[in-house]
Amino acid sequence: MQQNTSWGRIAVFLLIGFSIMFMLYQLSDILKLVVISALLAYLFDPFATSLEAYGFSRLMATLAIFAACTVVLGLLSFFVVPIAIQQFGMLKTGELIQQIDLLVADLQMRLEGPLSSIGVQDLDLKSSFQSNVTGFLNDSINYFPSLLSTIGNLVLIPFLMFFFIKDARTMKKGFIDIVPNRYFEFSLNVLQKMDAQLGNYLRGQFLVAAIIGSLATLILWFLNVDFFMVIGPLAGLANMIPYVGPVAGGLLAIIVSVVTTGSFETIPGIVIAFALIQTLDNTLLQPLILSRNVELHPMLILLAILVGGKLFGVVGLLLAVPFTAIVKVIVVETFINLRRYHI
Amino acid sequence: MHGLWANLFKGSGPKEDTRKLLQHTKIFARLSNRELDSIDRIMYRRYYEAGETVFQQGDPGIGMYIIQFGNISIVQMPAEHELAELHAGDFFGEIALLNETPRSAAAVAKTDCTLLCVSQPDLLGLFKRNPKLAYKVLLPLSQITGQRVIQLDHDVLTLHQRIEALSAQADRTEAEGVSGG
Repeated sequence: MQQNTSWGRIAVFLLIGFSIMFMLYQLSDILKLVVISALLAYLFDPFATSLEAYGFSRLMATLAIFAACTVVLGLLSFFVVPIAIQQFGMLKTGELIQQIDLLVADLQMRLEGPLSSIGVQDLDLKSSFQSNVTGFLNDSINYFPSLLSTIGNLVLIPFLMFFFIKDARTMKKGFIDIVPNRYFEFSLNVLQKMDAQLGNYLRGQFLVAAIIGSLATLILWFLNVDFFMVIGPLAGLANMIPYVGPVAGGLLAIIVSVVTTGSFETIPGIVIAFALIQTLDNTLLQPLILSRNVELHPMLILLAILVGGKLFGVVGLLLAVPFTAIVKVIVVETFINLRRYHI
Repeated sequence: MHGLWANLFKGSGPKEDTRKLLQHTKIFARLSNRELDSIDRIMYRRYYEAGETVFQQGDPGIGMYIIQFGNISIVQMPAEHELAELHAGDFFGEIALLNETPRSAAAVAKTDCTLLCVSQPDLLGLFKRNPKLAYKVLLPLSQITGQRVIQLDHDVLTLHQRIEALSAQADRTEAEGVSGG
């Protein structure tokens, strides 16, 4: 009987999980905005709390955070964004693709002589390269309009974020108010445990991404790699995708460097730089910043990345691991507390 | 749009009766009106019907309750022995504000009740935002806990003396029985 109950409970949880997934998929565009706003608000929440300790009201603390963000973004847009936009523009106009074509044609000419002596004819590297690498680059660049259109929609994100920060406690209270008495203390306990575990984890993830992104940008600029203002921040963001991210960031830098300079000289420098960044990340940043509270199995991480990418594209790839961590903590804490509260 | 601005600048002043209730609760008696308002903002108002369980014995404690209306019975399980009946203005479960210990008894609504709950995580969050509030709340809470410990010591001592007296009486009765037999 007990066995049946627990299987029934698991089935109900799975059904609810799949229903939620389906609903989220249907609302993916709106959901992306809400999730990003909520996550950003969650990241900034401790700053608002600190300001409150100095006598600010919640509203004033939220406005102060927005003022600080505006100043930082203003400085960035003055010094950094023009370079990034120019580099994006170059990527978009297809100059890079043309340079790839030229490089591949050159490579084919050099290879055809020696290879024809051993009987290899008609390499046609260009078409195979175009279908693969060029296609890949086009795809990855074409992701950016969607990412940029999301950023274009970003009038909504600050708007939502503002109310998420300002009214976070009211929202939590509103949610708890509708919980039936039987689950009241249980819900309070689960929410508190989730906040304790996820807060540090998520903030740590984003802090690590920001540090890696800044380091990668600086190093690529130092190594004279073109598009450093695009690849650096991308490498930082990609770092949030375990296993795949760091490699993808390095690989992108190598491909761009080879294509734009037409030589392989910068490869050792980039490889060493990215290896050093990764070493720093694994030996110093992760142990210092990331909380060990949320441990995810490698297989679960890979599965999450695949599903996230499939359902929500680039944003899905980036948010797959944090989102999985959130779901894991919710599920684990719910089950633990169901037992503790004899529900 | 009007609604948006209204939401943005809306105040959330506590109801006067809630403030009075908090002032009459030992733990919050030293707080200023403004501080009472901040406590009011983190409280959950819960409604229980007669016979409904507020919490079970052995549940992890998450916070304390103040009775606004109605009566609550504190019950020792499994014997279902009523330890106390609490009324409007009384509070219970305050140990859970110090740490997450299992509830030592169950709380059941004797009549329809309105309870105000202050949870430990919310209170600690409030202390982070307003550290001065911490000692004003924690000092009376420690004093209440200390008084409870002294009362418990006294009760244990009284019980111990009663056991000794009963034991002596039983010995005398037995001795009289032997000499009489």
